[in-house]
Amino acid sequence: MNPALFLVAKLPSPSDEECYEWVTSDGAPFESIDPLDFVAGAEARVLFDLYRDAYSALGPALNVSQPAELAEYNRWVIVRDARGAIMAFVCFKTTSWGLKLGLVATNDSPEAKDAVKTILHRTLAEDAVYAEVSNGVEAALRGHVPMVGVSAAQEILAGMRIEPDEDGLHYRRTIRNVGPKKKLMVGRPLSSE
Amino acid sequence: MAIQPADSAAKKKKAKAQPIRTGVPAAFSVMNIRAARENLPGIVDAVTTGRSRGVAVGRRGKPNALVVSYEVYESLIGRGDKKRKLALLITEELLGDAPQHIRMPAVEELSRLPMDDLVRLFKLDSLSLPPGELNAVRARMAHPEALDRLCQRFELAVTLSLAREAGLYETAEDLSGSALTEPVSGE
Repeated sequence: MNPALFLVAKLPSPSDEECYEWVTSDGAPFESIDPLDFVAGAEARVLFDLYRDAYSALGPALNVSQPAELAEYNRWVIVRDARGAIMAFVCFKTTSWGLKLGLVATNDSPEAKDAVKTILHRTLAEDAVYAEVSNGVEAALRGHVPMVGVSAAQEILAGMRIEPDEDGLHYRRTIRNVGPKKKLMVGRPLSSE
Repeated sequence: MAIQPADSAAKKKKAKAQPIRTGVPAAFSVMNIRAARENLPGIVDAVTTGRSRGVAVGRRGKPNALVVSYEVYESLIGRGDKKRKLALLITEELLGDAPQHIRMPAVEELSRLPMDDLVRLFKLDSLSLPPGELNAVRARMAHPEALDRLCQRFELAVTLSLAREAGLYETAEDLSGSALTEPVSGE
């Protein structure tokens, strides 16, 4: 899992049986591209529009203002519909604990939402893929992905102040521009051992 | 195509972005050994993902050792292609703490330049120079487009750095996924 690579995979709607082992590899269906070409390309504009349209109603705190800002994330899974139009994406960034889930967006169609849920269920079951979730996303993933204990989460979130919950899984931390939130880490992050 | 003069907004942006390239070795802040031991996973994460160019570890503020990514160590200390080493030094100097996935394509691109072009880029202290100075370097290069691309990568790194500093990604990641279960009209 090379953090120096910027990888994009373009997929049709996923099936429940599909294996997502490749998500932590550097190979197919990922294609390596230069992030400079990615942000200048038409596809980044489409992804940005999808993202902006999906979240603009959620409040002014979210201020993704240009496609270039998407280049923070270096692994992209883009889902196309039967006509070839982009209907959803999931992106990750490489950390030393594996791939951390970044942004998720859909065109709000049931097909796109199902596709993203399937991708998250399958990828977060793979070794070295993890996410920090809350609220609705947690509900959508519950029962499908492993949960990370709060002590391991604390190590991964080194430097951040968190307040563990009594259940040993959830914790509260302050999200910038949002405020305190109850969070849960899911997936299979690498251990520091 | 000549490099265009930066407008005032871009200058302001660049001025704010200076911290992304302040990590020359002499300026590393020194972490004491106990703090380094407690923060080792975070240090390894920072140097491997490019959030930090390196972390100096020592006693009483004096650096005794430096934690850098294995790739940086191998490229600079190990045997290998001299042009690639120079490309890595140029990238480290000019793109600073940009994420690895922004810096490494620059290394690949620069490694293909003739040595004369690399030496000219190596002499640059910054990409935030007045356009006239950058144009003077550009005019002497066999592949001036490489300097343009480097400037674009710098701008991209600045954009990401500013967004990160503003907490954009933390906020966006927290809200992201709401569209899976909630109507986009929000709560």
